[in-house]
Amino acid sequence: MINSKEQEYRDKTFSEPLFRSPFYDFFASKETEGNWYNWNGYKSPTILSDEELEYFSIRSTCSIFDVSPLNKYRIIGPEAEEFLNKLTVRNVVKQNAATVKYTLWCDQEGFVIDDGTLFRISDNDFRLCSQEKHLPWLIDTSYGFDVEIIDESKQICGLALQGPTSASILRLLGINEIDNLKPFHLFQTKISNMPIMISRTGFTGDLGYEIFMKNNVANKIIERIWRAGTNHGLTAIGYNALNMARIEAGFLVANIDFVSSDHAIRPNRSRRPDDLGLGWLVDLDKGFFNGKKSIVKSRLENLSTFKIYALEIDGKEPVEGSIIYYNKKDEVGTVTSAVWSPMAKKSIALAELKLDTSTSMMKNLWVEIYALKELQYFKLMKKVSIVKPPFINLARRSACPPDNY
Amino acid sequence: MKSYDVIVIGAGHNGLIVASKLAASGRKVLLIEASETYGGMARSEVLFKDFQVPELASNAVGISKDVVRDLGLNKYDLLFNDEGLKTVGLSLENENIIFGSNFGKSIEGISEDEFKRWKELRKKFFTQCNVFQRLASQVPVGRKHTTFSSKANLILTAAKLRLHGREQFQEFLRMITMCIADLLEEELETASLKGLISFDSTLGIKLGPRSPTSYLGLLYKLSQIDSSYEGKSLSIHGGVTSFINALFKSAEENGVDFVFKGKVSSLIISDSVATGVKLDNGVEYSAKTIVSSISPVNTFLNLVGPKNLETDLVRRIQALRHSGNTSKLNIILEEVPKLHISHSLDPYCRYVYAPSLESVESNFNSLKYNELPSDPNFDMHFGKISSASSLNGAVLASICIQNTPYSVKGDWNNSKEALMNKVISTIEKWAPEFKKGILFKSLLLPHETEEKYCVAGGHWHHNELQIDSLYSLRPTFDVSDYSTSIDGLYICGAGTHPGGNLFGLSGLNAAKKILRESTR
Repeated sequence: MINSKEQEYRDKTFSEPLFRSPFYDFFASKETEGNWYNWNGYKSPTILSDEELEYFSIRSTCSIFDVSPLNKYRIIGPEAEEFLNKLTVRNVVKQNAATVKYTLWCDQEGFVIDDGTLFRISDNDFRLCSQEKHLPWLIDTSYGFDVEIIDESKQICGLALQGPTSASILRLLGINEIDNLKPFHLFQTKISNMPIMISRTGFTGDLGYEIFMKNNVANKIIERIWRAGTNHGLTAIGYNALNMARIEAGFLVANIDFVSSDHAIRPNRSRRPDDLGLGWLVDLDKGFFNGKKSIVKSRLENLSTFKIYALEIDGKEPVEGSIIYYNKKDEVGTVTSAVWSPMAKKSIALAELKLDTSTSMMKNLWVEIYALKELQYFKLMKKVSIVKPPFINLARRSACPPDNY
Repeated sequence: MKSYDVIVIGAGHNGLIVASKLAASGRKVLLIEASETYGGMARSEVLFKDFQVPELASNAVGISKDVVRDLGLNKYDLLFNDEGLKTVGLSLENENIIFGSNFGKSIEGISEDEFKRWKELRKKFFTQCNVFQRLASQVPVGRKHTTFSSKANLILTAAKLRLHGREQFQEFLRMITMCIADLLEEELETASLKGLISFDSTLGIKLGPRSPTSYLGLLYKLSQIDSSYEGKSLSIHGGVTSFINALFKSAEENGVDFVFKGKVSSLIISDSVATGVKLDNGVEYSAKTIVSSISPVNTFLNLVGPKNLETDLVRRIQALRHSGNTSKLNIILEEVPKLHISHSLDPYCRYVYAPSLESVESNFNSLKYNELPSDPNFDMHFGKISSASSLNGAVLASICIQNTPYSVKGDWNNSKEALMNKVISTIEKWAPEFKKGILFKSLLLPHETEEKYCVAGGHWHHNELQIDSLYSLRPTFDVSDYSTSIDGLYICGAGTHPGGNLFGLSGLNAAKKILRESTR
């Protein structure tokens, strides 16, 4: 006999193969486009109503984005810090309580498995958020450490509140602590007696916050935020708008800008932190960690081949997926992410290039664009210049206290 | 803190070999052993009154001629089975077969036709086992170890095989991953002969005769017979002890310092460099080179500790199959028991009870499901007790019981006695008086071996000796060249290439590598 509860569950597996985040109903009520995609097994919006308007809400008012599909691992225990020091490349000893750090973790070849954000909630209590699923890796790495690892992905949900007016909206909700909240810091508070964790983090390069809470208060919280944002241009957004903003900020996405070593099948596709331009995260003075020997060796022997670069491209044509040439002739790499930046008023891109560091080579790069204009392709060769990311730098991102827009 | 050039952990035969060889080069060597005496799993234990024998490794095996030659062991009194050791395959229905020394050079008790077929098959076996011999004395070619000579050796090995002709080469490729059962059934008829050979192919490894690659187990054994010193096995009367004593004397003469009853609790490691060891009584010793002859599981997970190791390596070490599958039954008897046909058992023979291939396979089935075999297979030989002992005239029946599960369904309290009784009642079918003469008996189960001999899982070979853990995959591909991810730490135990019984090449290969690599 199958009881009714089980029956209901079974039926859902077929009719709704994708999970729905606690905020699904809210975002579904805001959408007009029917444009959804599968993000880590969740039905997530690509575009809710208008991609450009959604993007501009990030930059001029405030956007609200559902980050619940992220994997969230809670790491608790007296040796949590030591464990994370073995797992990740940064020195967790240097990370104070109530702060957030962007970090990477590698396999024994020093190849990046994934990147993520590490929230140090208290001394022995961490939350690690990542794009990909890593529970087996975390558990196997924790062997020998007095630490508990809990996959709280399905119990904890999150919202990203990003944009100039985000601080004002939170103030309207009575959260005045944000005046003292510096970038990459966090604190625990309550909205109408419902506990939440707020961090000044985000994936947009703008002033913004991420709010984590338990699933059971999700609906009430988003309701409050939405009401508070009425006069501050609060807009629900999908992934496309966020993606534009993150390229402008120069942030990488695993398995888009680089292949995670877990996924790489071909031998030369995995990348080390140095290849991602993130070598500065690696702390070689902290003692042993996963991948250390190989990273040291690769630096000594200069093993790096492909590296990720930030590019500015002449013209307005989209360059996504295009091939980059040296001297208009020799292939040197591929564009991994690209967008016309409304802020920089330029065509910008992240690309994986195999260059020797001679300046002459770096100054003679071209991108081949096939621009489709009314059913005819135009093959264009556009000049490429390597720049230092991020493409935009906003003072409000790090202003403390944040201005009241 | 006392300082040495080299610290060797574990005074088993491999540990002794490494210590002796490195000390001979002028290095200051310290050998640390957890128990009171040297020998590891081959050490002598007082079993009964003043009677002392190797409790575990009393098996009739050969030792590598390279080891004997390299360390000059022949100047000590090594005891061998000079006449060769005959194996009697016990059979109830038919006549017992008597398997001549050198793995059945002659066989009594089978038809002439059968013997002809056996001779052909045996010849094939020995031709093919040559591969292992050549590879056994070299550091495996692997990711880290790719010297010209080792690669050349690999190519020469293949070439040599090919030189036997196209047909032989194809035959090799056909047979190499086969199960021993199919090979035997292709050629032979006699049930007890097939039983005996399948027993010998799978003794000590977790495979049944019908498991694919079980033929490799036999090849491995034959390669050791073929390249053992003087082509002989160690005497069943004190041969193992003579070998261990010789190694100890050699180490002592070369100036090795010993610490007994010193259990190493951890290595002193900072930032992937090993600089010393710490004993569980708190004493520390420092050295630039540390060689661990204990099992890879113990070495990496206990001594080095997962905190100092890549997650990838920890995963692979944890995945090593290392639960023992053989138990050891020692019985002291008043005298050599008599057969029911009134003449006594020949104390110079080895007896195997594996009446048929099916019997060995069904024993293995029980092992798979953590059950006791209903009719356990075993081998047995008699060791005479020296006349100096108060037990004058008494003999030791040294019995290896194949396919004993590491953990048994239910618990061992009841099963232990049941297993002993099953074996004894089988022996009684030939020697009805056997039970009466028992002065003492003790059964050492895999988990007891683990405890007593400090070997994770209590496995003879430290970890399974099978196709996926041979050569550059032993114990795992990233530590197969005796060096490890910890600078200054080497491994040289049975868990490394080539491993296997008392052969000793793991220790010798590791020592040679250390001599090449490390300065004092």
